[in-house]
Amino acid sequence: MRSTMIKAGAALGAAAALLFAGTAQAATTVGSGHVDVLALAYDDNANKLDLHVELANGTVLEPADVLFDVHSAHQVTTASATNCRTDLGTNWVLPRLETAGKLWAGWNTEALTLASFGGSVTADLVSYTAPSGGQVAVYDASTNTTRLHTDPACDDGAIAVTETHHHPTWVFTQPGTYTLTFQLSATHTTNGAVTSDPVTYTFDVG
Amino acid sequence: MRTVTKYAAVAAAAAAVLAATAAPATAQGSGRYTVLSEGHVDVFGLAYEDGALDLHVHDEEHAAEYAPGEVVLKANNEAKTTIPAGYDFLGAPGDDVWILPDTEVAGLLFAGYGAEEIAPGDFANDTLTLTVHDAWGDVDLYTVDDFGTPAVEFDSDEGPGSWQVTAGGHGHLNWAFGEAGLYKLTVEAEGVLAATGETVSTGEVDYWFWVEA
Repeated sequence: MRSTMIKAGAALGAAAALLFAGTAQAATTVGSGHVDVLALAYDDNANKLDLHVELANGTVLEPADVLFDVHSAHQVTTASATNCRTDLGTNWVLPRLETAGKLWAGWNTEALTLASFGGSVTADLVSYTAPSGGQVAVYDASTNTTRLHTDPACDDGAIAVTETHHHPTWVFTQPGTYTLTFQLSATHTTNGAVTSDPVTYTFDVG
Repeated sequence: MRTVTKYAAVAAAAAAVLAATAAPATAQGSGRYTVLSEGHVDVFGLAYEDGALDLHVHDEEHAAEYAPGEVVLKANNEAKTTIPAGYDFLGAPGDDVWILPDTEVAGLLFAGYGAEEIAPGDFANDTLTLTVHDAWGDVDLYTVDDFGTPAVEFDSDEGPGSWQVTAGGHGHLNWAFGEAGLYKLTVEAEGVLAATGETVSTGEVDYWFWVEA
């Protein structure tokens, strides 16, 4: 009787896994409001870092299950290009401050203790895809600090995450689909070098 | 940078009071000031109840509400930085300045304003006006857009400064102080009642800031 139940449970689990695999493309679309795109976590049993997406209501999602919809409300037209920031003409801008109808995209380290990692965890952009001519700029406008840029001339290609919670400005310079693959790395004060798996985020711009 | 003579004397007296009450940001009910020095605080919190417009301080970290006169809003010394280029209204680039930023930074007060307790429809155009009439010493309140361009809402060198708040809305400012010490900001909120066209005001309300050396 007992073994039958386990088998039934296992079969159900397998069916559920199949179902999830089959619906993996039915992503959660996030197009406005507070979202911590990079929600960092640390599993001290596995000695492994992890990346999630955290919504304002506390919902935690796997990045692969989320589509960030950078829709037309994010469109900003600039009269001139600014190096490592915006192209001349149309750009898509995720604002640094909460703005109704737009994504307010940031990161947090609330699920780990930054001090245990020397105060900083690196989110390395290990690969990305972008539409032709498309660049991604992530920066702090109030201090004019580039946090990440897809152009190696602008940045070293990694975010040094030093904040408990932070919201920069994000700029996409061309419409289309962008994928950003991040891998976390850090040095734990007692457990040594730790990393995450590479995790891919998808932004649909325009 | 403007220096007000009353500043130094009162600062010394206030330092003595603060020395007795500082540290735990949440200790309340001692009859003295509560010092708020970290986390999300809506400094200019607006409410309209029983026919009266009211300004209060809302500590979002501890879900506590205070009358403005009950709290000292403290800029910890981690707020001390230097004036960046392009911020001439703050003073000469490279000079010392204490800035409570409009984004959340661990260890610093994340100070904003909010009209979440104003019901839609109560005020004409769902709009209220916040005015800082005066500040002791050198104070600037400003926002920064996504391209790094500042918009100054109040500059103590320029006289009173006003900005608009939407019913249900919420915002954050950069709060810049030119020196360490005690500051008083005199603030007023007003709006026009949608039903009667009557203007209601909080009157002038004093807020106290302490900027750590």
